[in-house]
Amino acid sequence: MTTYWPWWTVAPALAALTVGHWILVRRPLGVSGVLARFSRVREELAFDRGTAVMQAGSPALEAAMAAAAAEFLGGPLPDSLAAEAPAETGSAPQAAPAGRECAPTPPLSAHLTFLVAVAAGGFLAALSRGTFGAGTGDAFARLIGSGPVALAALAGGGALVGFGTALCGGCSAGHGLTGCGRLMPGSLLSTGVFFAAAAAVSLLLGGLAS
Amino acid sequence: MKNLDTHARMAALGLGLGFVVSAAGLADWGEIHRMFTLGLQGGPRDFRLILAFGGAVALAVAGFLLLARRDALPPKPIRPGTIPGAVLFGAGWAVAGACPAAALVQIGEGKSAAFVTLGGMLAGAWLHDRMRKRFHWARHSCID
Repeated sequence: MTTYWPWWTVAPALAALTVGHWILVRRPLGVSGVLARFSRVREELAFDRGTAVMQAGSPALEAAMAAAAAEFLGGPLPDSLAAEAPAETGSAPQAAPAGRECAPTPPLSAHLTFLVAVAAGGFLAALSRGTFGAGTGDAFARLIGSGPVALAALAGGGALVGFGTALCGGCSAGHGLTGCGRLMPGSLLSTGVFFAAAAAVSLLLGGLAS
Repeated sequence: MKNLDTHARMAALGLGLGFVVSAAGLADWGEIHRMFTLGLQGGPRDFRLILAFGGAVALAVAGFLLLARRDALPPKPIRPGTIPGAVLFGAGWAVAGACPAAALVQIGEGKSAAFVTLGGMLAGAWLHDRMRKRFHWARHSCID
């Protein structure tokens, strides 16, 4: 029987990672959406290239848009319009000091780094416990089975997780920790529903096996 | 340079998350099963992971209030896909014993069967993407 951390150690660690993720990379912690990007790699790489053009080429983009606007208006831009963009600093009326903004989606390679690091974290933890290479465990074999049945359950269960998290827009991290931590209605509802559904299916599995 | 910084931060956060998920037992099928059944089916009551999760949410609420009250995190409204998606995710989590992070952690822990779980997750996400485009479902505002 493996010894795991008690709940009062796990809770602050998960909370620190949830808030720390936002503080460090200005993105809400989430895993399912990051993973889903790797189910459509070509499209996401094209998205990255578009983001890079928008970020790096903004002066060129602005000039092109100004030229297009001038052509549309049939002459040079009125001074009021042309002068507005660069002059607008500091004096603009601002409400309460604005909080930090959400950063743009990082490139796919940074998300790959994240996912590989999650696996590496599991590797280090298993090494430190001396349980590297352990199987899925007795309970799984007793309640689900072994051999092809077990693999089918993992594939089918995984597919439900992949489809379901994409449909409800988050997983136990994105909804359960980050979304609930911010009391977002969609996350609170999702988390209540996925815990209830998981409890029902788990009780059913236990009932069927006994 | 900025890119290297992003990778370093992502690596640190990923390592931390993977280590904690593994140390919590959130990548252990039996522990997940006891979390969802509270140990009711034979054996002693087990509230460890439910308390861990509930405690993490409570502390995250406090943390966001203290450190990010004014920040513009993307909203998470209730959508048509919220309930059906959550039902499917919950069912899959109970059967496969893995949320998306846990599948990666299991691979790191040397549980090679988790490659099958991960493949299922990618296939499910791919199918959702195809159906979203085919039936013109709205895209979620933020990747998470």
